[in-house]
Amino acid sequence: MWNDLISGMKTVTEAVIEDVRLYNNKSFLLPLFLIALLFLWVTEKDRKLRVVLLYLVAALGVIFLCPLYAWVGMKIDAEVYYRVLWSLPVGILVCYSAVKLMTHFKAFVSKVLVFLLALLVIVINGDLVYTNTFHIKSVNAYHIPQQVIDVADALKLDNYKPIAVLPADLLSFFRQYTADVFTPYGRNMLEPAWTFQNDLYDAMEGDRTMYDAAEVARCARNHQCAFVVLSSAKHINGSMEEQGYFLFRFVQGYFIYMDYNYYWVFKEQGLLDADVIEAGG
Amino acid sequence: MEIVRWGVLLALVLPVPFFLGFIPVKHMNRLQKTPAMTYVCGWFVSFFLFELTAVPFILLEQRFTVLVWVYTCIIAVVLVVSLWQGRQLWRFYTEELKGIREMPGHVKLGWIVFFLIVLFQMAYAVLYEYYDGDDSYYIATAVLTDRFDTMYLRDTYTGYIYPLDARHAFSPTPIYQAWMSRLSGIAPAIVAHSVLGPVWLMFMYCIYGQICSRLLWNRKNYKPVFMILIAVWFMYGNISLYTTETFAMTRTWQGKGLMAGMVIPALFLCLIYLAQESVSQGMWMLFVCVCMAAVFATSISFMVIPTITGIASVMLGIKKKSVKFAAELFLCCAPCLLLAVCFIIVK
Repeated sequence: MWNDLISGMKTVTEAVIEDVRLYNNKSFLLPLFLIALLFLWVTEKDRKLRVVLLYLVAALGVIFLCPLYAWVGMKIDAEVYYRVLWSLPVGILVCYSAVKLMTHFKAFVSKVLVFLLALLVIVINGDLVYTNTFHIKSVNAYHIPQQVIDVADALKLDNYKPIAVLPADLLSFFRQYTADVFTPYGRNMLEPAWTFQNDLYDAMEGDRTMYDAAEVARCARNHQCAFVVLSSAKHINGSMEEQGYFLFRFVQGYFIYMDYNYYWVFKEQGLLDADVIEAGG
Repeated sequence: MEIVRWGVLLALVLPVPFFLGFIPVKHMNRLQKTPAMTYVCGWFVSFFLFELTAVPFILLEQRFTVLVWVYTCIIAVVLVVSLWQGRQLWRFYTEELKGIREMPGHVKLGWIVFFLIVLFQMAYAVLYEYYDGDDSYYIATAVLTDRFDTMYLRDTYTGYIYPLDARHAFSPTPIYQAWMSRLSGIAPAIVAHSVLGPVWLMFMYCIYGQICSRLLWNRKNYKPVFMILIAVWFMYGNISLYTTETFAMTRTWQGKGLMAGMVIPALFLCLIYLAQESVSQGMWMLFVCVCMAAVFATSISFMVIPTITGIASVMLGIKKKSVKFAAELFLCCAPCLLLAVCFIIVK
């Protein structure tokens, strides 16, 4: 039992160290935090501030690194345990230390130099959020790619919510725009760690350069998809028309096919919009 | 019509939170009676009320429209009470604004630089988009909620009916955004990305501004220096995918971003003031709201908030040599603990 406990604690400790390592990411962030903490420990005279900014923060740091606490936290959700580190007000301590250091100097030039030095440390140590992340110029107020909006608008019917299968590149954004079209799977398929499986997804994305029309059509019918959206960036082995589909629209590089089986049923029930009826003949 | 929609949405994110903040701010001391503190308090009052109202409706699988009516009525009533209670506060705000004239030139320049940096960040949040996979859960939840009139009863990825998603039900940030979307008629993706993204950045800097006011209360001329450093700190905070700054700057509208950028700093803001000899009633109110807002933002708060509050209770209790104070402080997170128990039961 003791061996199990020790080995469990060892695993948790390693996981905590890994979380801290990933959080810090080869930067000077945590040393900077410790330096600021130490500096304020020596210079801060206000006892009320000392309790909150120094003693409480230090205690929180110790608790969060404590294997027993981490074990409980990781039992709840191991993947997000790193978020406890948000509770350490690193930014406040570092910036307050810099200002406090400025106040120690009498000459204006010295104060400016300390300020510039602090800015330099922040800039050198950090990474600009706008250049180091996936920021791109937005083309609409939704902040989602325009082709997603155009494909979604094409798929929407006035009187019915159809099921449509989409290429992987549209999955992350599609539901952010509309709930009027069901999909057999969504962005969950794109996360390998979540290990979702779906035969239709395999048929759509299994080959990066080509669709097998027969396989896509077979799986799409199994999932009751009225519409199949295929990217024009990939070739189609065979044709969707041979599988009983018709090309409803070509939108922003995507072929939107409709299954004739659903077409006749929906048409009979008066669920189709005029443009779909016109395309289906 | 479009103008009316935008008018409603902007009213919901600018004057409404500001007016809601009157109640706690009225009971705060002179230093805390500022427009920024009022705005901060208003958002937390709003989150507090939403958490209390929405969670029972979600767990009872009620229609979203019912929640919209109930919560809107509650906000309307609180707003009227707030406007009545806060009618004397305008005097303090005017004095605050008059103080700007007396500032030395270099301090004014410092504030201008700070506001330009924040303005740049807000403009960037509107003009540039950031791809984050989690939006396909959070914003999709708001879209489904508004469209199907159910809450956490649809699979966000497929749209199909689903058993209650109890894991997320206790942190209904997307439902709150769906509420804004329903009242304004503007799509949840626009509400989150183009409106809450920049507005909550401003909200975040208001919190830091209040922290700064307390830290540098006797060195007012250094305030813009601190704020410029904080703004640059956030801009260059993308050290890893996991930092507070990354979440606050790139996922501002998500519950996680709210927790990292706003709730935790607000918690420290309250604790700094609660450490003083005399604590205003308004600060206690804000602290309770912040503890509840943490749950509203993310379920990690079930663990983090009692930990921070617990340790703070012990330390401040020792400092003030008062067991009663320590107990009172810890009791503020009692609703959070109660929700944690419900979370464990439902999950």
